Amino acid sequence: MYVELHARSAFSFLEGATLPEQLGQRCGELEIPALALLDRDGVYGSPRMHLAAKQAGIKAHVGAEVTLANSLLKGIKRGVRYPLLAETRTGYQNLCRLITRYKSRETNKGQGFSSPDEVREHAEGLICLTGGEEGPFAAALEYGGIQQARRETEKLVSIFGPRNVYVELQRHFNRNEEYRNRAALQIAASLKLPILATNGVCYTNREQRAIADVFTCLRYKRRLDSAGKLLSRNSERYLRSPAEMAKLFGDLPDAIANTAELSNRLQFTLENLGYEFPKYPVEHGDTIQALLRRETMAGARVRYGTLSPKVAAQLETELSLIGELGLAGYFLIVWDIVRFCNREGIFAQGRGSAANSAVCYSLGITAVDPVGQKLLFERFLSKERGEWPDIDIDLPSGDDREKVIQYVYRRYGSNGAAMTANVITYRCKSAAREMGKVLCISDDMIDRLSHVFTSFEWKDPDDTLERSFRDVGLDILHPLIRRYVNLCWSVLDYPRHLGQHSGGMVVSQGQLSSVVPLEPATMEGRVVCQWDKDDCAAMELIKIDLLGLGMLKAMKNTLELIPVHYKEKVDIAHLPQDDPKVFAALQKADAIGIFQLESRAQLSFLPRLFPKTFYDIVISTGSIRPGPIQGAMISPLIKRRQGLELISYPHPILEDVLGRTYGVILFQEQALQVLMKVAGFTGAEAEQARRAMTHKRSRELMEPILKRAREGMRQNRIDPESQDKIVHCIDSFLGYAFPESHAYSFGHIAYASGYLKCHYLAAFTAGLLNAQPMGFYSPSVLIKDAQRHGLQVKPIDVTRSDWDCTLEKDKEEIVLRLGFRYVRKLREQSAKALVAARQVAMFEGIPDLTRRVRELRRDELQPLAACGALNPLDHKNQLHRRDALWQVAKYGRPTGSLFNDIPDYDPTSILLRMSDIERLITDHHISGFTIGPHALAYRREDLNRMNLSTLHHVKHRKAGDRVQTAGEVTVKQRPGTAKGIVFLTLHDETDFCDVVVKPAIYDQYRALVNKSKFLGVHGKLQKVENAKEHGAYVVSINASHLFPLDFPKIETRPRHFH
Amino acid sequence: MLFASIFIPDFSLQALFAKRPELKAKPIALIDGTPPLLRVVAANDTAMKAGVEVGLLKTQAEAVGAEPILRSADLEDAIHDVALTCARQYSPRVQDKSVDLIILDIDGLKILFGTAEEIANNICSSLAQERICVNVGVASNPDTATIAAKGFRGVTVIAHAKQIGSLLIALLNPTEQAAETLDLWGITTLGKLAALDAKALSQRLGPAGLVLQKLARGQQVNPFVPDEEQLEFCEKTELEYSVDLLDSLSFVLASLLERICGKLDEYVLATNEIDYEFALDPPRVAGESLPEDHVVYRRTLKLSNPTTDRKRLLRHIQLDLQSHPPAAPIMAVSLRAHAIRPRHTQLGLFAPQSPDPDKLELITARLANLAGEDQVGSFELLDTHRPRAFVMAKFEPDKASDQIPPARGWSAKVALRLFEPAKRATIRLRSDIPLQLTFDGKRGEVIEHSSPWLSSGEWWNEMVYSRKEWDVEVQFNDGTRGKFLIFLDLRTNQSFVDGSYD
Repeated sequence: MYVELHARSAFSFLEGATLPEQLGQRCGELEIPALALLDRDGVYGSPRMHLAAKQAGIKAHVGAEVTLANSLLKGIKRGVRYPLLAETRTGYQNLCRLITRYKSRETNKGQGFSSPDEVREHAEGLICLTGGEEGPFAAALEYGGIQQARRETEKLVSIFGPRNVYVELQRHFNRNEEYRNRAALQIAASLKLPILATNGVCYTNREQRAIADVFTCLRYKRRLDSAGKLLSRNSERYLRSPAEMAKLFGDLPDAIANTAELSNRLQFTLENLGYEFPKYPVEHGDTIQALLRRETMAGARVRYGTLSPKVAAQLETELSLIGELGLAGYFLIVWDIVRFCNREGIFAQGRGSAANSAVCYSLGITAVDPVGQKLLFERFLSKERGEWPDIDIDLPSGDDREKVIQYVYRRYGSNGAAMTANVITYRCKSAAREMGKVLCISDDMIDRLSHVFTSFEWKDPDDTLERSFRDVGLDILHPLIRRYVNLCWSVLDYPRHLGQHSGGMVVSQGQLSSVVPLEPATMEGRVVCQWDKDDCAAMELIKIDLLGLGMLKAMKNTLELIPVHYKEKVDIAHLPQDDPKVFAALQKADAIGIFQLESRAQLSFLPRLFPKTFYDIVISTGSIRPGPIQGAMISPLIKRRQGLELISYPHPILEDVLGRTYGVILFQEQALQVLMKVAGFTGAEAEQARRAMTHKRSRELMEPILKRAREGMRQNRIDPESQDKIVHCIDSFLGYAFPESHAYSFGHIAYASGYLKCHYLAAFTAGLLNAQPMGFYSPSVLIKDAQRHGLQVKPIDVTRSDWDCTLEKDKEEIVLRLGFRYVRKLREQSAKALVAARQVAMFEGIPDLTRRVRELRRDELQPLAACGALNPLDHKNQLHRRDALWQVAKYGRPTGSLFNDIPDYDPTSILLRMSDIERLITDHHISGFTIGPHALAYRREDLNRMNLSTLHHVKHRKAGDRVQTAGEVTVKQRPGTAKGIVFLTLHDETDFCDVVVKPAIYDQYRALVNKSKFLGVHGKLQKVENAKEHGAYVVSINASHLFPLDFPKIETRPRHFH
Repeated sequence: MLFASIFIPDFSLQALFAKRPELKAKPIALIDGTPPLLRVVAANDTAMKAGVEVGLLKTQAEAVGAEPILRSADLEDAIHDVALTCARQYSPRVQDKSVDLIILDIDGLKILFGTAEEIANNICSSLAQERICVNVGVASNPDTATIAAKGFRGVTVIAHAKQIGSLLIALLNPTEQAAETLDLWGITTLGKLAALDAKALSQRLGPAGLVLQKLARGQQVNPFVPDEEQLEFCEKTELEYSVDLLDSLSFVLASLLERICGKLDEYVLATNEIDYEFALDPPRVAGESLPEDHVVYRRTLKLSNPTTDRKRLLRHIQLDLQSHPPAAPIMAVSLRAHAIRPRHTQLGLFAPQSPDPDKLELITARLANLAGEDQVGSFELLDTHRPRAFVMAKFEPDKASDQIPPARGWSAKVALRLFEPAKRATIRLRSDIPLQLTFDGKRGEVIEHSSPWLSSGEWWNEMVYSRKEWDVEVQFNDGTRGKFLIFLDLRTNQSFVDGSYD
């Protein structure tokens, strides 16, 4: 029997060329009973190896190659790698702590190393191999001969103990290696150490050697043709079968036998991790459960006033279940974070299934009353689930979220809390870029290739790498290009490097660094663990998601501006829920900037839904999701609501469950309740179904559930037609649907943002602009929309603007002043210095400005002048942009006495004022938008001559009319649910309009759609009117012909969405 | 002063069309690069209208119906030479500025060739006869003449700087930053740039801005540096009867070399490059024309050190002729020596003794003559695992000693003598163990062997290799023994003996 005890995966980041899953599967095929994954300086791949091993029915040993400084071996100029295996949990904890210790000192990513003393300190429970060509034995032998190698081995014995050092032998048909093996055998015999055969596996099969070579090039920043001896000598570091290994070490049977013996000694696996969630500190004599009960009840009295029997019963049920499952500490920890947010004035709102819990509502974690809204608590927590509940907290993105993250670090210590990692893997673009580099493909070709990889969610069946290569004119039959394509294919989904997750944090009782190694993130003050969120979940580490939501930041910005400029105070928690302005706006799809309701799909859905109540908003946020769309729920929902179709239910017993959604299944909870009612699913089975719906590989898991559902429905005598409908609906929920509670949480934010937009447009627009990048639309679209609603937008002005956009009074009207953040290249620190200097005394002119604000660099002054921000410095109001440009050009350049006689301001400057078009081009170049007329307004005469109508005119034509129009492309979208249709949103000086590009037309105009900023369209007008509500209709153009409009110099920034 | 600037627009395309005018009407895309990444570098109007853009790949150009033609350096050199020759017909002071730009000083040529405009027109028409369409700019300085040639079609005589005022700034190739600033100022033409106040401009754009403005104002910035003619010494002789013996030819060569070296000595110059050209007298068949290389023999001798040593030069030529004998008897001999300044080397008092470089060069030439040119020199190992990866560099003992890799403590101590090329062999194997070896007509039993060693690599190109090696000791049937490195090429399944161990 042979066990491979020294393997490396791609989680050694550019050193291994295989995935843990591939290793696990191959071990199963080769009947290798166990495998030890020893990635470089970490256990990054261990959870995936653990799961893969489970699936393959093998054992996954845990270990790592730990880099040591050269000081252990005098004369060796490079670090050496100690292959360490965790024999016991103590050993694993030591390994994690050791790696954390030296990683925390790292100044450059991947450059950290340990010291001999640290290794000695953490040696308990670890077994050390003498290593392959990068191991300590090879290094000692290479630089000091056999005597040095012996001394090095003795040193290892002194650190780890004689039982815990194995002399490693590898055979890759290499002369030098055999020399090393002979020396190793000699030393092993003299020191009476066991020998151990390994293959130093770097890839699963020989074919992956090419990936290993390419990774070597990337690591050393070389190309294949110049990497020389850095590349491997042959392709022998693949996973060999036990028979091959036995033959290879036929002369040393002990080396093979010892692998099984050592494998038996290695008792530790990740099954036995020893992770504990932190216990919430309570005062002496108190208990966590009692504290939770007290706080919940106190909160409930604030939330509900007098507790109705229903509420009291629900709270009692939840509290006793929480107590039974021992989760009180978890709730208190989340409550503690929310309390911190409240103290600091930071918006925080629980999202997801937590909104189903009355305890969460009472503790102030969520904003939805689950009792009043009849939400299903079991969706959040049940005995059957056997897993931790998931509470995600939405926070304003940016500084506020960072404050909360730092609070968690302070609370649990830097070794007790960490962000979860985000493993950056190779995607088409990055693969094409990096593989191209090593294969000497020219940079511009790689750039062009990267551009053809669309980021659309929908992919044609022939949207393959090959097609992309062909699209840029590469001949994929050519051997070099073929190899290029193959390499790109091979590395897709391989890990490239480690990032940090946007909000997931794990905390631990005691030291988290004993559970998983931690390392500093690139961002200052952040610590990240070596596993991503899926790995953490698989290893049952509790994660709290502190998610940054741009809209919360925008709302916070808005709420800060309202009292100052409107002299009013708005309490988001107590907004009137039936504001007519909000519903009127939503009914006519006037929702740009409104959270979750502004997307193209929502804008076409809202007039048909015609929302009149808050719950309609909840329906709206829940409806435009892949699950309900693929389940064909939208059309019946609209028809039934409009009275065009009778409300019916798949079965009469479902009326109670589906009544409020007109008989269709919109939310996850409804799907589960349907299964329980019509197919007799137990709570546990429903939970299984929920997992299948949310799991990545849900198709596999869903099959038996659907089978079971059919069986149950047959038993309950549901007719086959209804069965099919129900199964189809449930099946489509694989495509992701919202839990109702989540839709409620988002509905609240959506309504609040709509309210702010309708009542405080100036403040809301400023809030949105100051929270960018966020949302569906670019600042350009947001500004044009606000202007259409009557908001006056003032230009950037050094005498008035701040870094952020601000509000001003102009003739009793509140207007928006653009901030310096929209000046390209201008740094925040320079802008703030300018504002500070201005507060001392207003600038007397450009020379005064440049003298007093030393932080302003020449390349910052130029864009300020170009966008007209310096014009107001001239009291006579004669300065124009070019005058200002002329003046600022001389600052920042050393001048001598030669120029002494040149006055600061040259009124005879011959530079002409910018024309309208020049101003437009400059505005787009500097800020990405203009507050003046839309670009197409300047070309209207040409467009009229070309018979291209305005979008406003087009929208008022009859359905079915053939129309010809043109506009700026503001959004490009190819949703996964739309079967290959591309949706474009065109924008001109009069309006917006959607254009539907069907797959055949897209194929014809693919390059044009992907590249053009301004498009002309011929097509048929589609108009869907709301049958009940006259005047509410959705308009789009079904494109039959597209053509480019020549407007080359304007830099527009269309947004691509899935 | 008066200068004419000859600019050949669309140079690469014109080079092609001059040679193959029938292509003009077709959509042609000139391509260049390394296969498979051949890219369009120029295209004619017909191709552009069809959708060809510079930078497209060959396949993309083909897809829109253009005919891709590989750019030819030879054609471009030819058209450039024609233009240069034409320019030199009018003036001895010519600056060969770039492949598509030639400047000539035409001051004082009126009596010989007419007015400046007439000269420019004549240049245009004589090149047009060669199917080359050029723009010629005439001005009082070479920069303005060049701007005019690049900015206007046909012949343009610039009498006043205002004439170039309408041309775009891009013609001056400003830096990206300067271009952006000027664009923001709305300064798009040379006229507008010229009108700016010089001091104020210098204050803003620095010296680079002033340079641009000077050019825009029709002032000279770059000096005119006429090409110096290469000093060459040429001697020829026609023989009364054809010579086919080296000894006889050496007599002729010696006398020509004597004359050349005499002139070199007079000018205190030396030569390190001699072109020799022989008119041959090959057997002819009536009515059959022979290719040029059958009637003319051309070689160039290059030496590392310039010399006027007649004997040394003669010996080198003799050795070269021995290695590369002419195909027919010689009728006429012409020698052309490129003259350069002699090199004087100060030898260090404590420098290690080394052979006289001249003698060493002669010895190396002799060896090359005996063994073949590519068989003499110093090994330079390449940075790759590929077996036998080395190049033969020129033998330079001082340099070679620096390149010996430092020995490591455990590196092999046995010397391997490689056979060049490796010897074909037959290896009898059983379970990867070599049993018998046959090569060079000898057969022997393998009495000892090491494990097979595997090496493979360069999978990304045509140099891909994969081989299995053994170190073996063989007892031959004739009683001799030897230790060899043998290998099996896994791609061709052929066996070889790579070398023997000392």
